[in-house]
Amino acid sequence: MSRTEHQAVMRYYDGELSPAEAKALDWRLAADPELRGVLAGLAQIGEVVVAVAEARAAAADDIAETVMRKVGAEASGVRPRLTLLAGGATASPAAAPACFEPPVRRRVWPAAAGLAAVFVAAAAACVALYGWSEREAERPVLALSAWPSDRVSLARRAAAPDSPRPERVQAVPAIAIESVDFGARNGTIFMVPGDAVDTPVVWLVDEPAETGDRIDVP
Amino acid sequence: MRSTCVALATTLALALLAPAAQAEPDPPGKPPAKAEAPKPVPPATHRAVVLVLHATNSGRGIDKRIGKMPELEKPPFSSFDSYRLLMRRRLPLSKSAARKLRLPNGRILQTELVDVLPREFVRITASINQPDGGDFLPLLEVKAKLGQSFIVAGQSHKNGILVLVIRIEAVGPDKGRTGEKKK
Repeated sequence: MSRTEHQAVMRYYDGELSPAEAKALDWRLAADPELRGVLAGLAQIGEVVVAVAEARAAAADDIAETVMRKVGAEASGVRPRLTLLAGGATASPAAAPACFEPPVRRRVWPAAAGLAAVFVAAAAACVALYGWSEREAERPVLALSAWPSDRVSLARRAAAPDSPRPERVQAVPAIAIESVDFGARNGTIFMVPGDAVDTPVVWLVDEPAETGDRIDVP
Repeated sequence: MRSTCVALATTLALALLAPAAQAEPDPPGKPPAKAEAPKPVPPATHRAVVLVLHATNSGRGIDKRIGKMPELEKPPFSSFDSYRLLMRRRLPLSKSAARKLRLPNGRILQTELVDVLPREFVRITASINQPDGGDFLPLLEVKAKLGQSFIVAGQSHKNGILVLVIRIEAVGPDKGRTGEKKK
């Protein structure tokens, strides 16, 4: 078997041949037991790789290994088509094309794909974790911030499920209580809807005045 | 002749002792003999407009001098049916120069312009102190766009509370009375 033929069988196994090339190779496979043996060998190698991937997936617990398991399951679904080659050694050339349908493009290196999926999942987890930690590190300014009325309406529209997605909101509130020290007293901060923006209110709990009753935070 | 010699000796002695006396540090706890000249206050670039309102349930409604303030018609301010304008003050602000305002209940509101930020934002601090120097509201730091108000409320005063409405405006030749640019 020449190197060109071997490469053709590999491309056939990978589903990279054109329909005409695949059909021609079908006839050759039906007539040439050596070619069928090469193709069967490729199928066995593929099964071994898939089995390794599945074994790793079975032992995995984290999300990355779950992705790997899914890749292995996808690869295992292709195997039945490859096992048809084992019985084709004595088939007549006229009956052979029915046995060797042009394969759908399949993965040759599922383990490599699984490894890539692991890296992608790990990178996504790192990005998500970094973003979460960044949000945690921010000062609690947003809760005390007032946005112009158009931004408030945008945010409310974003909360509605059937409303169109608003454009990116500029992350600069019109007014913000950045820090407050109530000292030994009690107090609270809240927002009151105003004319154009929500107005931040710092409400202090004061001792009763000489001529009045105690006024507590409502 | 003798008196002239005595006078010369006295003058010489004083001239020799004077630099030594100046080099001596002031004893601890003793105020300097000559008070330092007050630092010149830089020209105000901004001003804090402070409205002091008195909220009560006296059935008088909202003072027309207050103007339009929808916040007073919403909780918790709507729990009072009367708002009277006690004072309206404009405190000129410049960086690192605190301004004080005595409130009707005797406490002192102190505001200071900390920083002027891009896009017409400023950072100011405010505090309210007792007349005896004690803290009431030690520190409040606000980052605000010019013209936006914030409210400090809750101080008891004559059967009601005080509501301080504070708004920062720019001061300049191209700015109008309310701090807005002239068109």
